[in-house]
Amino acid sequence: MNLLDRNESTRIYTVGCIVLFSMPLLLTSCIRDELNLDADSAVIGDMESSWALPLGQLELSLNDHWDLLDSLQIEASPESGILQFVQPFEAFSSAPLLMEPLDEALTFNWLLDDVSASVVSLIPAGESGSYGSAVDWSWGVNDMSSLDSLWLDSGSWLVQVSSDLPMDLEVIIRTSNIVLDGEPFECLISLDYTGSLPVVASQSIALDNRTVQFSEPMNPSIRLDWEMEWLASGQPVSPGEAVDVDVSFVETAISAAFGNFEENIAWSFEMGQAIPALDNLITGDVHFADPQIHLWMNNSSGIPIGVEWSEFKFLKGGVASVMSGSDIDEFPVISGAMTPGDDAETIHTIDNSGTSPSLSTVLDEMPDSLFLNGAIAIHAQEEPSFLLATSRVALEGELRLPMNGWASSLQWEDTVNVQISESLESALQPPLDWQDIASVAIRLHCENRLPIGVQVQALFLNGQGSAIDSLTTNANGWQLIDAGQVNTAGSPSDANYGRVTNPIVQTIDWVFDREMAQELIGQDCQSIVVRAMLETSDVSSSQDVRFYPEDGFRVELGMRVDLDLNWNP
Amino acid sequence: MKQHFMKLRSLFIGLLCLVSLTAQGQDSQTTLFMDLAPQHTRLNISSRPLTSYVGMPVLGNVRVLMGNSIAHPTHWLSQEASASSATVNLDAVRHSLSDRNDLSFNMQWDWLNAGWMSSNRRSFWSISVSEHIQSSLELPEDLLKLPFTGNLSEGLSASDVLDFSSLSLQFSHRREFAATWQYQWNEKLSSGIRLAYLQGLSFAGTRDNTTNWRVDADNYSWTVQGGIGMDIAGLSEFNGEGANEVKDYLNAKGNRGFSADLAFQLKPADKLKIFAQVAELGQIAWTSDVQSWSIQDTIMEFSGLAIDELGSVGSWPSDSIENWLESTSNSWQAAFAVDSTSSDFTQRLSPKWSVGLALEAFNSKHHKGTIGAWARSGGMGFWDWRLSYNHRIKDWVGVAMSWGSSQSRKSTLGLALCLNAGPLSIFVASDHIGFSKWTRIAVSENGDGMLANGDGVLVPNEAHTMQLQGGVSWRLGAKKKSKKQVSNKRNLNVKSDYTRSTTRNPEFVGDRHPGAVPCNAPGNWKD
Repeated sequence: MNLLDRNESTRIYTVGCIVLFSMPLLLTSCIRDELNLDADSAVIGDMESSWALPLGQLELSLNDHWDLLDSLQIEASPESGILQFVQPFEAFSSAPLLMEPLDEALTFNWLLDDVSASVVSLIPAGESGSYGSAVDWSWGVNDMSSLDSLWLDSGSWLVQVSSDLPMDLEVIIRTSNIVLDGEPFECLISLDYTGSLPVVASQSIALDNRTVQFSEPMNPSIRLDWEMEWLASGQPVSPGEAVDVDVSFVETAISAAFGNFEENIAWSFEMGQAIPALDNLITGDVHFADPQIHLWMNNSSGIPIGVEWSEFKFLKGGVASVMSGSDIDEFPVISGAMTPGDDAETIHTIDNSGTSPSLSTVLDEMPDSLFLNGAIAIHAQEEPSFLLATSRVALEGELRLPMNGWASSLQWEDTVNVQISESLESALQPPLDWQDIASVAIRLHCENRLPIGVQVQALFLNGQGSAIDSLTTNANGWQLIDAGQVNTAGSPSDANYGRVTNPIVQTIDWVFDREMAQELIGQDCQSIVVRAMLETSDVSSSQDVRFYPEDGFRVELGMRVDLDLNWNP
Repeated sequence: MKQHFMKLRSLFIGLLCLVSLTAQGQDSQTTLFMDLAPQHTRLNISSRPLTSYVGMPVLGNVRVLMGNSIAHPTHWLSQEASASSATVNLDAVRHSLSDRNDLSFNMQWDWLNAGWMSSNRRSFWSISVSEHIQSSLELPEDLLKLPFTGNLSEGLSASDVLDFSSLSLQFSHRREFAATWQYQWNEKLSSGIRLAYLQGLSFAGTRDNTTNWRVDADNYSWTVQGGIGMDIAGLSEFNGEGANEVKDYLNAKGNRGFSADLAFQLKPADKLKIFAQVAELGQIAWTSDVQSWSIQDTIMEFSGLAIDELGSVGSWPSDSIENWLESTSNSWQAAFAVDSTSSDFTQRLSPKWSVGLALEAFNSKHHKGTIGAWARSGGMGFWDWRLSYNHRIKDWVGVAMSWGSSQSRKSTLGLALCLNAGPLSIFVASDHIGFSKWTRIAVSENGDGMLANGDGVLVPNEAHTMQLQGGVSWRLGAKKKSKKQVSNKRNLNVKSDYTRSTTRNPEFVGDRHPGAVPCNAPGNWKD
């Protein structure tokens, strides 16, 4: 019985366990819900993703872009290292004096008188005899008050002898004033009598590289010694017959003249030079702290040259600012070269210290051109000088505007004609539309190592030219990239004064949101006006800043699109 | 906008239904302390079955586990009782994609298994030949949430970094020839050891993934770090066509390995047992039909168009931009070039440490109740834990209920039943009975035929873990034991609870039989 009871209870427990096991399954095993998903099913919740894309980067260090700077006529100053705008110009380049070819000729003779004719007639045929004489040949050279010597470059010495005597002659002409390698000049001419008179003979001798030396510079002349030998023919000679000698220089160029040159000989010059760097700015103020005009005067003659200024002025729109002051009024004499072949250089700098009004004052007005008018003149010479046929005197200069100063509100503007409305409509294709775009932001992440900042403004215009919207979040419509912070400690003479010591890192977002896009689409936007305005660091306190080749900036451009997908109609 | 997205939505929902129905398996944790079922020793290595057994071929022990922590359409959709159509909640979708997102499918079955008690009752031997198929796909949270966050959002999992390093694909198919020896050293200490020879059939797995995508919040520049490798073995020649190919695949040579499990169980008090064990120590050397691909860990930066490289800033000809794009593309291709090798590689198993305790709540004449607790490191940075109550009525029926979590997923309720019907032991268990709740999602279309119309798709409400284990075994000597048991009790006229009524139970040593040893139990062990 107990066994039966036990079996019975065991069965009950067993069934109970199975039921216990099954109940949770039964309770949980059912299809509780039914969900119907169709095209009308609503979608709730947000799907607002943000997508960022780097667009580009620009690393600009000024010394890495010399090509660009060269095109802007900007270079580093060798002395200070500061970048500077350089506008070269040439005032004049010419010979100090014109040296004309020699134009000298001389005629001399032996005229037989009665006695001489009788003596020569008595000489038996076949007998010889001679005659000698000397003559001084006076010279003069234009624009020279004294003449020490001349270098002959080309041309020839022409000698012609004409004899009325019925006999053979040999004529020798010598001069120690014309030398070649130390040897005096000598010319031999033979005249052969053949029965007819007069007997004429000539000879041309090249004068290349010969030197004409004058023993009396104030009264220059050369002495010609001539001698004649004859061989008698036995025929009588009448009084009045003569032997004539003509000497001349033919196309003889002077390569150098030594001596003293006449003073107060002057030639005028005139020059105009545009200054392109300053003519593209619309508005704004600039201040150049240390503008300079560097002048180089080269002289390859030995003659000192003076410069006399008639006008030294800058022009802006035809209005002149005439410069004066010691740097101009007391302009230095252009030194002469010490020896032939040398080139003497005279350097002169015009800056604020020697100008009135100051050069800064004039250039701050942003003139568009420089105009020079004056004359060069032979200056008094204490020592004999020289003039070569190749001698030149030149005045060249550079207007140097070191990028040292300040700039305020320099504005640049451009209008880009783009069918913005159409572009925006076509920018997004189904399934996306502008309802799904919360905003598009263009990010400018920049590190500015330049002492100049920029503010940018973009205005959207409709077909009538009216502004619809602007791409900015600032109330004044400008987005600012600050200038780098400059060193203001010390004085302007310090090396790093005005130099950027703390670059500015800045992030700027131009946000183009859904509302703006819809507004532009609806208002027929047709163009964008982009304005940029430049200002240097601490310009409000007129802080001078300096630009160096190492300065630059880094710009990283990115785009962020914030989606707000709208799944429901 | 909505019309355009309907197709996408249809595809989206369809994919969700598909993945939510994907079945995935491992040994049931609910059966950890169910000594009535011989299958429990696979997970509790030091615990011996009550009887010798022979498993039914193929049906002796079948385990299936499916994990899905990605798609939960029933959480994403809601429908008011009066509404005709459901509402898709994108916030719920996004929320469900937080943390780990993976799909896994494990399936194991024993071709044959058997276990027998040694003559001195101290040892229990078992052998098995089993097939193991394991697969998992993990998708990074940041990748799945990309449509919600974009690449620049405060909602990213890590600060301004899109972390894709958790992207992982693992698949392995191996055959295991295992022998287990469980031994009771004395009244308090017992141990178990299982050694297995592994025959690898196929493998595909990613490794060394360091991929991430950083977007600088200041300048939007991208920094992409990437390195990943993939090893494949036994699959390149197999496309499933032809019986011979399948036969060759199933009888592949090479790819040998081993594994070892070791466990110790201590009984510090009469009603308390604690154990510690380590499982899956070992590796497989894949040597047959091997192919490996690697992308070296590389960091590349993309900052957009490098204007400096275009020469003069005054002119950016289009061909220069094209050249730059081509140059950039070439640089990236070179940086992330794929190296391919055919070198053998070793797959190390994932050792798992586990500890557990079992407290005998009561032990009456016909009933025994045991409370168990167990925790295990998952080997991949995850944790498994489970609390259970096991109730056994004599040696006829065992029931277990459990509550716990697998692979750090959401906690689930588990049930197990072992029914000894004559010589047969029928066992079924699941660690997650919640998957039995289903919802039907009817997808219909109102015009343009974008959505298929039908009776709907049944999807489980809680699909993150679906696990099922079952088996049928032949209990050796059970009938005789039962008769002898009665006889012994009559003869001895001893009122004994059932745990001490049979020496088939290796736990018979109790405080009411001080000093007793199994071999001295009268009339039992020689049967």
